Amino acid sequence: MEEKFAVDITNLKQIYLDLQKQFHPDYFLIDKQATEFTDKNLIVAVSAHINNAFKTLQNPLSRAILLLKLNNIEYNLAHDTSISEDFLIEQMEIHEEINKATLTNNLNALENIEQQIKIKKNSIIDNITMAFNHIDISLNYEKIKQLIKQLAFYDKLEYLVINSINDIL
Amino acid sequence: MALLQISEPDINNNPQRKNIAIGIDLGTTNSLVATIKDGNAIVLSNEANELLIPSVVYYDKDNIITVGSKALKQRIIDPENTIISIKRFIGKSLTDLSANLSKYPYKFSNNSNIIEIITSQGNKNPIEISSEILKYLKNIALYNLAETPIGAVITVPAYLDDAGRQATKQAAQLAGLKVLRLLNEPTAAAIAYGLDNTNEGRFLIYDLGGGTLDVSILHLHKGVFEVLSVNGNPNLGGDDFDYLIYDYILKKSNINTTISKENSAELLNIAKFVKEELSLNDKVEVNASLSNDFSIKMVITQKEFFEISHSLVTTALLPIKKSLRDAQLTIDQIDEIIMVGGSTRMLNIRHGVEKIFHKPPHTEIDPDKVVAIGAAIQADILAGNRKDDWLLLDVTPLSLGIETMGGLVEKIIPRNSTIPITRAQDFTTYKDGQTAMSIHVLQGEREMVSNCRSLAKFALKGIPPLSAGAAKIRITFQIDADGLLSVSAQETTTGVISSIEVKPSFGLNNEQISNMLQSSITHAKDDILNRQLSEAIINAESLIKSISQAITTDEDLLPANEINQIKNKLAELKNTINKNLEISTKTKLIHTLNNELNSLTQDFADKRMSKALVNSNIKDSIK
Repeated sequence: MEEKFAVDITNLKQIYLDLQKQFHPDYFLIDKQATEFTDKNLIVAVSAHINNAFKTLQNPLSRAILLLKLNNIEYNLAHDTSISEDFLIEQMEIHEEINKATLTNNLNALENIEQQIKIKKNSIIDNITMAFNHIDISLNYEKIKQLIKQLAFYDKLEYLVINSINDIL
Repeated sequence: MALLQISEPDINNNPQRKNIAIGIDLGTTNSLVATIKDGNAIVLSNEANELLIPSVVYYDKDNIITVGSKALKQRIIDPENTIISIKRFIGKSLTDLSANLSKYPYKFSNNSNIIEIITSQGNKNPIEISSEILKYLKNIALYNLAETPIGAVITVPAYLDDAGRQATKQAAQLAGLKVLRLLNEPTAAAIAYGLDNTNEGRFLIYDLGGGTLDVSILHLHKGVFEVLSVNGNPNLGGDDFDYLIYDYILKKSNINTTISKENSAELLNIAKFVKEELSLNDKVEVNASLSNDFSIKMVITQKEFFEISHSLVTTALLPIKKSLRDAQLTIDQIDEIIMVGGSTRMLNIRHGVEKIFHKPPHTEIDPDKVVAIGAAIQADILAGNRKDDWLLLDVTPLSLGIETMGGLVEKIIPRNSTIPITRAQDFTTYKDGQTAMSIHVLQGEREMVSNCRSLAKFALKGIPPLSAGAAKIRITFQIDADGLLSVSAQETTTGVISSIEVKPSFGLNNEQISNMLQSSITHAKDDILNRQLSEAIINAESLIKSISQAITTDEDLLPANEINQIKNKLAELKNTINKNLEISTKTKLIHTLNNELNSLTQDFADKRMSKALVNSNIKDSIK
């Protein structure tokens, strides 16, 4: 696979499934295939590693952080406290909307908020894609970090709203 | 959709022999065992031609264990020793059930770690009791196949937590079964319907049993069967509809007084009957006289039933929407809907599902057998008998987390994650020189520790004494393909591997299991030896009795030296019976003495026989 942010998820999925069809523990229950992997625990670990790898690459947030790392940029989301005041205010407003809708069991409102968050997320992801596509990525590192931070905030909101919806359902 | 064409043309197959594997549906009410024979899935029957084996174990006073319909018959005679629905207890502690304990006719021991039922054969835990059912099913397989299966796929409810899964696996171990895989019941049903190789697409499996509801979505695509989401309601099932009808009959009969336990049980049976009838007919007549002059006479229509159960049906359909959300799919992206579990025979449920998807759900395979059939197909795949190498990717149904400050749970592995999965988490010390810490692992979706299920508490010892925050302990949580959790830990800055002490919150640890296994094997041997000894003693005692009697009446028939010889042998035998010897030695010794006494008294017996004949002749001639 090419080392780029814009991945073809269908292709990624196929590579992932092909790997699992080689390394899933199910194929090593009976000694029908003589392989170098005789250690059953090792097989579980390999298969789990493939699952983890797929998850990391499938999720835009973890994929972006990984791509920075491959460019030798360590980015620790939890330690990054730089975020614009405007953005924080916007976040708090959506937070309040979610709380209000949750308290009144307003499913429609929550589903609307969920849609809005999805749209926001997609536009951030588009921006990340563009930033990574720049001929000289190094010029965009700071911008990418900012976008990753924003994406993380929206992920958190999405998690909250989905939880609220599931509670009402 | 073509069903169960698990054809394997011989031309594609190597002539090499197949590995026989079985699929077991270990159900709450009934259990089944199935296998693949000549490419077809078949449910195996016992010698009485029964396919559905009641999941009932009976412990009688004579140390005999009965399983199945014979055991079920004891339910009325000896309810305390007839264990039904043991599946409800597996992986649970007494406190989990405390609210419902009075419902059961059993005596429970006070063991806090695992539930124990006090039977006439001693205390039995759910693992041992389940293993008796599994042993019985294994014997059905042996009886039908005349070959020991290489292993079994055992199905479990999708929502079963780690403790329940561990316990099920241990029960299999105890029954001498190699577990190829623990398989979620709805997944097994999907396999039964889906793996005819022509039906690619997304399946929604709606599984409504007696007490639980599971909804799973699977994607069958290019040789991979991928579970996308598992949802449900562990506290909703067909039984709830019985209670609705129960209340309705009482209301309609204007019965307000509390009714007796017997009447209540009888009425519940009637309610169940009404529910089943209304799946076939549009009305049912109830005409029953209960004890204490209660008589019930009424007609209940399907329309009435649909009305009273409307909101329950709505609740029962909600997990469909949730599971679609979890899988990030819309209604029209589902290709096939499959109904599993006896309660899906209810027409209002069927109509409700049909209305959501605008197409009729599949009900072709007997909902009682579909899970066992799916398990058998998966067992056949895992045993390496199929050329097509289907791969099943399942998910963990519940989130895994650890306790953090303030009694909160931090999620480490979210639910619906594909398994196997590993997740490493770093921890640090908060005091200078701290050498130990404890970790509390929980399962569940709620935020508070008190609302989640405690799985285990780990004491991490041997952390190198460093200043606060300097030690970094990496704990790795792993969920394997059976959905079972294991944990390992390592101090990363110094590389010291900390010892980890696993204390399961309930259930048995490996040592207890191996002890139980050991004792069940040695006990079986002991049982045989003990029986042989007691048989020898019974023979000896009847010999002693009859010979002693003969001597007192007919001592004069033999010369004194012969009588003394017999008397000495008798004394020797009596001594041996009372002697404390190793069982098999003692049995052999008594056997030898019995034989010696028999031959020694042969002459004596002949003489007594002649004497008796002579006497009777004399009597006859006197007449």
